[in-house]
Amino acid sequence: MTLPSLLRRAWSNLFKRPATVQYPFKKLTPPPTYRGRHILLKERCVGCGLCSKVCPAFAITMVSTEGGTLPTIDLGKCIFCYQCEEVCPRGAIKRGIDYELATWRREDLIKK
Amino acid sequence: MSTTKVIVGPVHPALHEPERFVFKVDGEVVVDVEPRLGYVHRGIEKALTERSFTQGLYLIERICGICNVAHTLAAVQAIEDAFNVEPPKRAKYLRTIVHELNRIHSHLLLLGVACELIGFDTLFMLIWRDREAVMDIIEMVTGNRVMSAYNIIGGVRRNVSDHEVLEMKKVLEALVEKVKQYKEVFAEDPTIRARFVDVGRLSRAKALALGAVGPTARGSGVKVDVRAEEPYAAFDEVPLNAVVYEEEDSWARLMVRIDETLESARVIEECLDKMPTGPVRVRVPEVAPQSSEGFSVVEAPRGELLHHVYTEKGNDKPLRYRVRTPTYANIPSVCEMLKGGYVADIPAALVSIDPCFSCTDRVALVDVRTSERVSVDLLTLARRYWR
Repeated sequence: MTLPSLLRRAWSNLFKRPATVQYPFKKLTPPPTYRGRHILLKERCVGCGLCSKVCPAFAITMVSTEGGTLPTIDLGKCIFCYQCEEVCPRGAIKRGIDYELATWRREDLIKK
Repeated sequence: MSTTKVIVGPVHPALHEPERFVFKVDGEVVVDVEPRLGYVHRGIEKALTERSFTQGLYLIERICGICNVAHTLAAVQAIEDAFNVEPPKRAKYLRTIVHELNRIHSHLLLLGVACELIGFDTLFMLIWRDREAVMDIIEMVTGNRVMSAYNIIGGVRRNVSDHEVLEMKKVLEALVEKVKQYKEVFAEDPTIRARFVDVGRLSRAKALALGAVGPTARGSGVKVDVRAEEPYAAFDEVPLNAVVYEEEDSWARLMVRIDETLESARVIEECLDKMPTGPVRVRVPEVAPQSSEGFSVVEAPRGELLHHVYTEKGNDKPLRYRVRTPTYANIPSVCEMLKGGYVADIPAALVSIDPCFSCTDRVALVDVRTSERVSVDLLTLARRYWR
């Protein structure tokens, strides 16, 4: 009867720091490539509406305001594929690394 | 001899996804199994014909969250086949790298779940802790932990930098060491051997007859691996040694996965070394340039995955899309495995095929009242579902 080899490893783990991160108190920084909350650069947008046409989740609608036609992104529908960033001819949609998207009201999810 | 029916599912604590099994048991021995699929049918194939190719790619990715890279890879290869487009060389290598990273994370997930199902929670926690490192590289390379959205028609969406290549090599080196230790544990630990050895036997002849695919077949001594036989992406330049075990039981199927994890790490490292420089993407037309059909088979973590697409000239949507997923092909095999075993061994046998039911449920038509399976011919289907 030999000692199971896992026992040795389990024992050595007792003296190591835990691998889990205490999330709300300590936050992880995602890599810069992370696809989080969008950054809309309104002054760049020309209102062509390509992003709303290509969006696979139908999350982007074009809304006309006094400043012209601008996209609004419904983060509740968004699947964060960033196809909109890819098609935008003016680079008006940028990636953000913010991942804390929970809100109290559904209307707050709609990003204008 | 009287048998009792034990109904498991559709919603059951032992199953991770909704699926119904009727086990006919005689005492503690399972005599017969009746699977009933289709609880998570989502109508994806029909929905794909109503979306453009680019939009459809994100739906295809969601057929199965765990093997999403295999699904998109098969889809883009099928669509490129239909469009007659060739992706750049570097893109092929990057596809292979992300595909194999995805396989590592899927296999480690399954090994963890298998340990958890037999009550070996320590190993489950340890394996999942080390899997997290792979998830972090996937996040770094593709931009998200699970839904990578990496493959696109004509290439991949972003390049990797030299810094990322170094980081990947570092993490994989550490991972390989740990997986080697787990291989030792799986090979000799008394708990694991007691629960998996000689459980869920699937003989080589049966595996061939029932058309088992992937690690299920390879655990029964059938050497079938798409990556080795019909190399796609960069596998023609980075040859792969298919892992085969002859033991024909649940333990062998799990060992195949551990060895494949090591093999995948080797493939990634070789790809990183050999990767040529150059563009990662070519522009492809939005609409189909010709009426054609595209076809692609890839080795998903659970077995061979088939995507088939029909395109029409000038149409930006596929005319018909068909997906055949590995778990669907493995369902007859798992029924065979369960027969003759004990009720307590059902989870151990079921987990060894790495079942993924949400990707399985797409096309079977079942009459709910009489629970009769209806097969319809293509014309009726066309009349009913096509425009």
